Amino acid sequence: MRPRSRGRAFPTVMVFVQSLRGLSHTKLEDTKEEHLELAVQALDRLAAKTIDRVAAS
Amino acid sequence: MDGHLGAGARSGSAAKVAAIRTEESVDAAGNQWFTLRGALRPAPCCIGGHIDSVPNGGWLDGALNVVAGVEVLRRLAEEGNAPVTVRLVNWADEEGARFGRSLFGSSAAAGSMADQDELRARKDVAGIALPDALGEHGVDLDRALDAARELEGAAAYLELHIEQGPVLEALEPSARRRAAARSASSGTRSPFAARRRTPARRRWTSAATHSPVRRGSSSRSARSRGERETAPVCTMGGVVTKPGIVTSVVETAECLLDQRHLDAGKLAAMLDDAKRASSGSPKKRTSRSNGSGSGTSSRSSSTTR
Repeated sequence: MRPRSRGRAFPTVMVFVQSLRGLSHTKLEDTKEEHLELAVQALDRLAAKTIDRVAAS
Repeated sequence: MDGHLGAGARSGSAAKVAAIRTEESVDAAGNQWFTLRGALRPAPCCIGGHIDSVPNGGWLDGALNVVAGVEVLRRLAEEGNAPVTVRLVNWADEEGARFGRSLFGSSAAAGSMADQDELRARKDVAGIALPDALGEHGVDLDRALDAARELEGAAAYLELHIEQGPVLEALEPSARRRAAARSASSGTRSPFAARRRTPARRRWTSAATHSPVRRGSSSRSARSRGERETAPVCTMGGVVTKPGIVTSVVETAECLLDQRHLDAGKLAAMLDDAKRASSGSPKKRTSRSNGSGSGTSSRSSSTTR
């Protein structure tokens, strides 16, 4: 089966927060609590800016 | 994950959002959506992630992205009168832990899912066919692509994720690294002096170079695009040597290896290969530079290669 034709593209942003020793997909993955807090705040600020731009468009 | 769609975990996420006035819905691919209606424009800003994980996975990939999205919704709801509709999506079966096929829900929504026939033949370890498991959660494989409607008219998509590599951590200044730099420049040796990071653009190459299983499969995987998409992947997570003293011969080396293959039989064969490679007699070899700039030429007695 062929993939369905893609819809309209739209801006996509990924925010990355550090992962200690670069680990993921393992029980050993971890991130400093202060970095997790900053990451959530960063996503929230990004969302706020995005919402403002979309509202103004 | 207690089901193909992470049913237990997603009911937990629903509970977290319950205090926020959002509309909850599940699309044709089983993706879970929470919608906070905006006052001005219907074109939604989407925030996404997943709450399932790989087998024996950790606590952040991927619950972090959905939990962070909940906090954004909570803030917007508390402020009230959001100008734009905001939607949080929990992608169904992103990691493919049960059937070995990741990105089920997100690929359906993106319109890139093209392997329905192959999915139809998949079974889990208990012999349950993927379509039957989907049916238990009200998802019809033949209608999964209808999930693409959810993204029609979307204005943006945002997602938080932990980095799957060490680059950001390496950018963080720390007393330890400064000490390592001083130590290295003065010509003395310390446990940190020889520590280097492989640049992101070289990490795949580096992993492939040092993985005998990957190296053995690379010629096969180059045959065709179709084969590449189902090619085996082995990624070295790290090697811990003991006793871990630079002046002592390594007694044991523990290797963390992530192996993936869509075919369970081939995956099992890969594991056998890796076990055989790691249980052989230690061979003395001189490590090759992988171009990461380590510059350290050390003799290693490796049991894992």
